[in-house]
Order: sequence, then C-alpha cells, then structure tokens
Amino acid sequence: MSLFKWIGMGDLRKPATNEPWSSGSEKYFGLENALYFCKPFRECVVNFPNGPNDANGTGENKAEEPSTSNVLSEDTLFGALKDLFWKISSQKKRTGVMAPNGFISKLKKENELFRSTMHQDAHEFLNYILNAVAENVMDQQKKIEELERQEQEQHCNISEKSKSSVNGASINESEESGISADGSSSGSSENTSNTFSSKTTWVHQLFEGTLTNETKCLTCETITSRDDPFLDLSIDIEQNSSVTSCLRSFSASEMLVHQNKFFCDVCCGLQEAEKSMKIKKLPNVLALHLKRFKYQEKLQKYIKLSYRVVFPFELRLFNTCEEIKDPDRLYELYAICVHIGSGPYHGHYVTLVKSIGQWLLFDDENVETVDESEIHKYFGDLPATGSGYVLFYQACDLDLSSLGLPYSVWANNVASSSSSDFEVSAEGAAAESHPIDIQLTPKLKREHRQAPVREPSFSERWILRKNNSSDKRKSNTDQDSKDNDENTHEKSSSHEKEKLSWFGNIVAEERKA
Amino acid sequence: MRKAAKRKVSYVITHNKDDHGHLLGINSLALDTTTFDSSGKPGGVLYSAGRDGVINSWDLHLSLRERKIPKYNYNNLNGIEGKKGNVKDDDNIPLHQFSEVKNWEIDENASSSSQPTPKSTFRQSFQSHTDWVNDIILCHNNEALISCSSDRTMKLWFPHKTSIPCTIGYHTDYIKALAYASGPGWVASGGFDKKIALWDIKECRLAPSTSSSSGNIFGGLSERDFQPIVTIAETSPKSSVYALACNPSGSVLVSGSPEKVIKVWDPKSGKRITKLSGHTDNIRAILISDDGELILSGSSDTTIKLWSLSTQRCINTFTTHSDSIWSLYSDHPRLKVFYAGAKDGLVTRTDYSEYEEIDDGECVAICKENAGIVKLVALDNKYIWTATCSSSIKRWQDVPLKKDRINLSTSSPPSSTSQNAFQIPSSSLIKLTSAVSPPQLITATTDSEVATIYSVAIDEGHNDIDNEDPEPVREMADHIIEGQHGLIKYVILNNRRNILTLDNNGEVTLWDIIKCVKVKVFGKCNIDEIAQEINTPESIPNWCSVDTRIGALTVHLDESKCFDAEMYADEAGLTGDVDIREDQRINLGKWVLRYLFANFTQEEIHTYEAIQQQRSLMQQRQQPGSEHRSLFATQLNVNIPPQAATSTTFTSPTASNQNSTNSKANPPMAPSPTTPLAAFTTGPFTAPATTSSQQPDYFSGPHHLNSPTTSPTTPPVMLLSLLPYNHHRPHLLIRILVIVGPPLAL
Repeated sequence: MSLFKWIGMGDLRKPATNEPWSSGSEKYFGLENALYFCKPFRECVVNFPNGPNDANGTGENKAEEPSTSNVLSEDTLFGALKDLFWKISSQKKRTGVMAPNGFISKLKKENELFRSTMHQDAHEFLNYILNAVAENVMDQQKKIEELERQEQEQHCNISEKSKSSVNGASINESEESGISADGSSSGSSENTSNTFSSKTTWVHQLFEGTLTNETKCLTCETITSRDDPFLDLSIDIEQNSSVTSCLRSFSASEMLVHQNKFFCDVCCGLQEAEKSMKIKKLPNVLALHLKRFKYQEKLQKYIKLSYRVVFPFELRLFNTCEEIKDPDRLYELYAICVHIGSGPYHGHYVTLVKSIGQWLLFDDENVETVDESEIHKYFGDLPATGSGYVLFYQACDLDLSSLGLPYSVWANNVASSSSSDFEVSAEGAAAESHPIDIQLTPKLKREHRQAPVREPSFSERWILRKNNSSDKRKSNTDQDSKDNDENTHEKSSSHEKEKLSWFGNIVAEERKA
Repeated sequence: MRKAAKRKVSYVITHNKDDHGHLLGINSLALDTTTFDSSGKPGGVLYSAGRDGVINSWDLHLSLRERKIPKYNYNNLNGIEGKKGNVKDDDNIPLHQFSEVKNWEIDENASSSSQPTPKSTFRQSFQSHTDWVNDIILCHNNEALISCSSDRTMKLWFPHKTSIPCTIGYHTDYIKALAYASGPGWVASGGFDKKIALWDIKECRLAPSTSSSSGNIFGGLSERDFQPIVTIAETSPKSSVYALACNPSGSVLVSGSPEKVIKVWDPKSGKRITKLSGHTDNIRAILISDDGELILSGSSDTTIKLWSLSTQRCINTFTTHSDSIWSLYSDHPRLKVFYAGAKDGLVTRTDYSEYEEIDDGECVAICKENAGIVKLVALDNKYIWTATCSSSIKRWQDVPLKKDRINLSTSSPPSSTSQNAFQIPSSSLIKLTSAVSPPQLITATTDSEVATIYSVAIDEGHNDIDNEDPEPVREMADHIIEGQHGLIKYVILNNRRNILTLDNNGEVTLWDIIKCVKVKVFGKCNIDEIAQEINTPESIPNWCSVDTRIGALTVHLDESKCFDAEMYADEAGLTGDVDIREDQRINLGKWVLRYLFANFTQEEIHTYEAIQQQRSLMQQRQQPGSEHRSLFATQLNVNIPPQAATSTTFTSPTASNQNSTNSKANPPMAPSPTTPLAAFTTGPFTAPATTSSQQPDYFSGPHHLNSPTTSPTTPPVMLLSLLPYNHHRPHLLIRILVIVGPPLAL
C-alpha cells in the first residue's frame, strides 16, 4: 500500500511592513510529498539566521536565496528545514504545492526512527525537530561566535567589507559558507551576540517554559523543588473533560506515601510528602500535547483515547508558582494538530491554523477555510472527525524585543522574506506514521488584529485557488461539503451558540482560577 | 508448619552512656504529676519520646501540693456565666471527677518562697523502638505509658515496675498519634496506613508480678490481645492520620489528616459521625473538650479553629499565628485556655475562660523556639515544656492568667508581689480577631469588678498590637534538658568494618563495628572527603547492613549473608596473647555474634547447671516427674534473660529427655529438645575471649534481638556440621547459640 501523502503548508507573509512586496501578503502552498509516508514540518523561525541574506535584496532575488542557504547548512536538519521554508516563502505564486523531499530525506538520514515506513507520532516528531533544530542552531551560533572572534582578530576593516559583500551580493557568498547565515545576521550582530550569550537559542526562547517539581515533606513541611525546562507540555486526558481540567489534574498534588515515601534531608528519614508540578516560567508559545495514545496494561498495547477534550480559544495557565512573573498571561490558540483515525498506529494528520483571523485547514495538498464555530468538531468525541492532539497557544502579549531575539533581524526578515514570522505548528498528514505537518502561522498577534482588513481578499483568493486546483475530485467534495455546511448552518447555529457560550464559560473559569 | 520468619540480629553501638539526653529531635512529651518520689510527694515526671527510638523520663523536682480546689471555675464550663464573686467552693463541681487519684498542683508558696525551680534530672530510659517514637500517652493513672513509633509497633511500658516494654499493637505503616479514653479503657492509634485502631488496655493493668509462673513475660497479654477492638480504615491517599483525640469518656474520637477535614468518629461502631471542613491544609493537632462537644484543631494553614460538634460548625477561627500550627495543648475541660505551638517556634497561650465572647480573651506570645514546636505540655500556667526537632527539651516560665494577674494586683499579697505582679508588654499580646463575629466592645458587666488600671493598660495594648510580629514574653528558656548529637549520615568503608559517620553537629567520626568502638574523631569536616581519603581498595563481601536512623550506629546481621565475610586473623587487630596461625581467618559475622551472645551463653550454662543440680536432687528423692517440671519452670523464669523468654517458651531438656511421652502430651512445647545444655560447657563454647574490648556491653536492650518466631527450621547446612547433636531438630534458642559459637579457637 503506497499511500501518497500530501502535506499542506500554509505560509503567511507578514503584512507588518510597508515594503512593496509585502503586499503579496498571503501565499498558500500545499507541499506534495511523493513518498508514502511523510514527515514534513516547517519552522519558519528557522529562517532567522538565513533571512538577512536577502535583507537588501528585492523580492526577485528570493529565488536565488535557497541555494545560498543550502550551501550554508546543507548538512543539518535545520538547514534542510530552512531550505524548505525558503522555498515556500520565496514562491511567487500565491498558491501551490511543494514536496518537502529534501527535508524528508535529510530527516531520514539523521534519525533512524523516521526511516521506516511506519507512521510517526506528531508529538514525537515535534519534539525531535525542536531539539534537533535547537542543537543545530546552537552549533551554528558557536561557529559564528568563533568566526566573529577570528574576524575581529584579523582586520576589522576587512571583516566589515566581507560582511557588506555578504549582504550585498548573496551570490558570492559561497566562499563564506557557514558564515553567511550569520554574517547575514547583518545589521543585528550585536543583538545576536546578546542572544548567544544566554546560551539558548530562539527555539528555547519561543517554546521553553519551566516546570517546577515541588515536594513538601509533611513532617517538617520543608519544600524542596527541582526545576525542569520543557518545550511542550504533555498532559493526561480524561473523557468529557477540558484542557483546563486536564491541566488541573496535571498539577494536582501526588502523595508520596507507603512504599513510596520521600527521603527528607531535614528529617533524615523517609516521610510522607506531597508532590506537585507547577509552571514556574510561562513559555511564549505553549505546545500542549494531549496524551491521546496510551499504553493499556490490560491489552498490552497502545490505544487511542478519542475522548472529548474541550480546548478553549483563549487560555490562562493557572497551575503556576506563586513567584511567577506574569501569572495571568493570556494565550491564544493559533494552531491545532488533529489526528484522524481510531488507532494509534495509523491515521491521518491534518492541521488547523489561524492565519490573519481566519482558520485554515491543511490536509495534505488541500487547504481550505474553516469557520471558527466549526473548531469544536475537533474536540474529539468521534474518531472519524479527528481529535485535537497537539495544541499551540501563543502568548497574546508576545513581544519580540522582550524575547531578546534580534528584533532588527526579525524586522528585516519580515521586510525581506515573508517566511520569517511563522511558527511551527506541526502536523503530519500521513496515516499510521503519525505523519506530521508543521504549518506556519503568523507569529505576531498584532498582525492578527490587523488582519480583518485583508480578510475578504484572502477568501476571494482562496476560492480562486480552489477553482484552479488540479485536484478536481477533492475540490468537488469540498465544495459539496461546503454547500452542505451552508445548508446546515442555520440549523446548527443554535447548537453552535451553545457551544460558544460553553467556551465562554471555560474562559471565565480559567480567569477565576 | 508456617514458614520461618527471616532472622535478623541487630545491635546498636552507643558511645556516651553517661549522658542520657536524646540523640535526635523529640516528638512527644507526657507529664505525670501524681507519681510519688522518694520524699513521699510527687515531684513531677516528664516523659519524652525521641526520634532516636528512646523514651526517657525526667524528674522535675517541682514542689507540688494536693489540689484542693479545681483549677477552673466549672460553673462556667456549661456556658452559664457565673457571677463574679458569687462562686463558692461548693459550686465547683467538675464535669469529670478528678477520678480516684488525687490531683496535684504547683505549690505557689513553696515555689515563690525560694530560689528558682531546680533542674530536672534523668530518671529512666528505655530504647524500646527501632525508629522514631511519634507519640506517647500516659494511662492507668500515670502508671502505664503507651508509645507508638515509625517502626509500626505500639508498646506498653510500666515505668515504675521492673518490666520491659511490651508490644501491644501493630499498624502496617508509621503510627503517628495516640489518644486515650480513660473511661472505657482503650487507646486509639492512628497511622499512615490510614487506619485508626482501638486497643483495649484494661487488662494491661495487670502487673507483671502477678503473672510470674505463666512463662509469659507479660501476664495479661497474649497473642490474641494484639487484635484491635475496632478498626477504622480509610482509603484516600491523603487520609494518613496526623492527629487524634478523644474525650475521657470515649464517646467521640476525632482525627486530622492531610485531607484537610476533621473526621469525627463513633468509637463504638467505628462509623463516621460527621466531618468538619474548613481548613485548607494538613491538620496536625487536635483537641477535644471533656464533654466531647468542642473541638480545637490546628492546621498547616496557620489557623486554629474551634468547632461545635452539636451544630457541626466552626465557632471561631484563631489567626494568632503566621506559620503552620504543629501542636496544641490544653488542660481546660472546655478548651478555654489553650497553648499553640507553630512551625516558626512561637508558642502562644489563648485564654478566654472568663469571657463569653472569645474576642474578649487574650492571646499572649510566651516564647519562641529556634525550630518548629512538635509538642508542648504545660503545668498550672507555671511552666511550659517544648519539644522540637532539636534533641533538647526546653522549659519556659509561663505567665499568670489574666484573672490571676488581676486578682494579684488588686489584692496584692505582699509575699508574692515580686514574682507575680506581672505585666505583659503589649508587644507580646496578639489580638484575637474573630472571623465569625465582628469585634465587640468589652462590656462593663464582665469587667466591672476587675477594671483596674492594669487591665485598662492591656486593653490599650490590644488596640494597637500588630499581629505580625509579636515579641515573646520569655526570651530565654528557664531550663534546658540537654540532648546529645545524633548521627545523621554514614559511609561504609570498603573493609566493611569501619564506618564513617556524621552527626548533627557536623562532626565526623570513624567507628569499628566489630569492636564497637570509636576509632577516630575527625571533628567538623566533610564526610565524603574523609571517606575518599581513608578508604582502602579492599573488597570485602557485604556481610552486614548499617543505618543511623535512630541517631546511633545500628548494625543489622541478616541470616542469609552475615557469614559471607572473612578476614585474616593477623589483620584483625587482635590484642593480647593470641596464638594465630599465619593463614588463619576469622569469619566476621560469627565473631560478632559470638560476643554479642556471650552473656547469654553464660547465663544458659548457669541455668543448665542449676537444673542439673536440681535434677540430681530430685532423682535422689525419687519424686514424680510432674513436680520437676514446675520446679524447673520456676527456676527458668528466674534466671533466663528476658530475650529468651520472649522469643520462645523454654522447656527443660532434662524433663523431656526423661519422659518423652510427656512432651507429646504438651503440644506447645518444642518437639524433643534434646540438645543438652551441658555441651556448652565444653568444646568451642568455652573458648576464652581474646579481646576484652570486644565485649560489648550494649547488649542491654533486649529489643535489638529481633527474636525469631517460635517455629524452628533447619539451620543452615554449614551450621549443622557444627552441631554436636543433630539427630533432632534443635531447639531454637540453642540453634542461635550454635550459630554464635566461635568457629575458631581464638
């Protein structure tokens, strides 16, 4: 059975700047993958170091950029990913399909796990990608630092020249190889050095939060705590629950009693203790992984829990430490990775992404708009409709400059290369191998708010694309379903209202908490 | 036949026998003011239970006199406010009679007339537990003491009799709290196994002396007594019992747990009557009034709550502390005067005994310890004893109750002015703000007669005290019963003979667990560095295990591996004139056991010789066998060290040899114990001790011998070959002796 997997990837161009080409705004690509499983993903943030290459270039130059980046970091997963994103972002067409072949082959080369034809788990994949990218970026940063030092040791003047040449003529960069990416960092070298000094990467700055594991001895009431960084939160789920209640039970205290007593250093002995997990540092982007695949002792195998788990569009994390900086930070849902299928070993991934105020469904090479009121279909009570698996929440107050990210780079990037502002929202489209697709969504909330102005044009374009789509069958069914939707819309509206009001309750509840 | 229990021998190496202070923190205190000392009057005895598994008692040398009038005005106890000055002695009818025992109180005249109260002195000590003693309680008119421990046992001890503590109950996890109902005569125990068990101890009143010939060291008790009369079991993981209380008549039992609710039980049925919720954290201290109507609970949420059981409501919430409440104490039948001790070390006394409104009472910050108050007891508003996780017990001077201060200041007897005209600085007063009722003005009716300048001063203080940081009245403890420094960490060196330990004073010491001596004191330094420095590359099998759980070095010998290690005799550090072959080796386990049981062996030999003598006498007189038996039994009970008697019922070998049918007729006896004790007098057992220093005198605690159960099993093959007689299953005791017999002619 050779399943052809299609990966839809959405790419939104930043509207934030006044650059002429920014008017190109949205582009939608479906990436086509001819392999029979696919693990595409994308990480637009990855483009940062690369972006500056064409900082001075015009939109027309972009086509050439990918080659440059290839030269730079061909040997890493990060490089491959970067290429992919570049390809997407540098497409001139607004819509299209792209096969992430290069990336997938790289992925397979790097990690044995993904080499087989098994379907892969989206969460595992996300994890792997994030860690691998972080690693690669770290390496690169080190290299850059070294090179910069060397350059400084040499002739400052020369280095400046070389830099300018890098910036100016991207084609000539081949000699600079690895450096170009950073040299590329262009105007923002100071910023980048700041970033590097913290020994973390922008991957960490975006996704990393800190969990603290507090253990309180019930005899001496001393609290010992241990901090663990996390890139995503995996939470257990229950039937007919909500993300909020799942988070609550995630942070519910556990008693260390009986055989499992806690060795208290103050009491010098085993005592009863209360252990709880709390969030000490809120991440900028919260990847919430619902543990839908669970090993069942009885059956001796993994099963999928197609429980209905309600997730709110706006989330406040309440299970935080007392000393946390901003306990009421509001998160907004911007991407959902959905798993369709009843079993853990096979199925299909689609991804919903909110782009400029509009929800888009990426299903392999097909992209369609979804009404926000339809999102509840992915809460997951029925296996057929698919169930939310990885949820991506982004802090509403996310401020790039406060991240310590090279803002100028970012800005440049936004100006020059469309892709820079996208976030990873991963999901695979493949069946059993929890195929994974990572989709890009706008990083900046502000843009979302600006979006409504453009929205109509967007949908028009979308329909345009739809009509042009080569996949007639698909579009027909889509059209049908859309019609159906419209027909049923009236009927179901009251129902939806109820749902929505329930959402409201959840949000209210969270605020209370 | 039931499978034999795993046998284990443990011994504790103590170092400072002259100092009886606790090694680790104190978990519980109990005060006895009725036991007479040598002078014919009670001087007060304080019992302390330590984390080192030891229960100590201390003579307080207080001057006590018989209490003529009850301490509290009992007219007020029923909620009917008696009119001031109208109270006559006749009206003072206690709710619960003082019982048949006389009550004693501090003799004010005696104490005020002279010098400060004498220092407390050591009285008795018993290491009866192998882990923390968590709670102790006095019962049977202070004649008996019951203790519960993290070693999961509950023991009964008659401190004034020459008996050893006897296990009266078990839980399957740490036992945390006890409560005694004197009326029905049971003790309730609550543990981390989420169970509350009620144990009937009425029978335990039997003195050991009355049970002399039964062969049981503790007459009234046998196996069946180890069953609780009622068991209350819970399942929630948070329902470990941390606090327990019942009233003297035993009509109500209340418990506190990390579940944050107080559960009220009917002890007769074991059913829950109700639960009281309101606390937001673990409930660690609980008291109940004598009539079972009022409950006072202290919680880790820093509040103390007063509950009414009849209405099932919280009457008042005391927010007098700013840290977790760990202990409460009250001797007031209606809990109108109570002491509270918190995690931050602050001890307060709240007194609203003279007022209808709780807000009108006063709360005084009395003292502040350096560590959390695990337990406190008080006597006659005169003294307070506090226990913390440090090994010392502190005694503090209490301050007089408000009414006493006022009486004194108005009447001003010249004799006591110097001591008792006591002013409490306003900075030591903590405002009693009631969460239930709004603050009310002090009404003139209650205070009219006592409205002196002094009391006005207090009221002013009330208004502007800051609850945040009260200044304790007493800065210094009146007296300290000093503890010692217990061991808290150890490192076993590679030679499996030397152990490095760290005590809670930071001192590092090197021990020899075979000679049971301190080898070297390193002083305050890093134990791991020292270990690295002095460790040798040897590799000796792991023949014993060690722990410092009770603050002293405890060595455990396990049957399965204690004979695994050997060393060359010439490297053993033997002293004296010993003839050793060059390649002669010593088995460490056997060596240790030989000397651990040396006294016991000796005693057995004496006993046997005595029996032999009697037997020959009897034979001469041609008396019937049955009479021998009783004689032997008597003899044995006199001579056998307690551990022998507790572990088995001992039968005389000669008796059963003489008449085998007799032993069949007596099933409880061990089958055919034919091994003649005479064998011990010859052969390897008489080997002279080569080193006198190896003779440990730590063998005073019989509990260290975890006695095997009474079902004999086949001894290890290696040992069988050593047995002079192996044609019958040897008696258990004898087998132990065989094990300890020295394999080498050392």
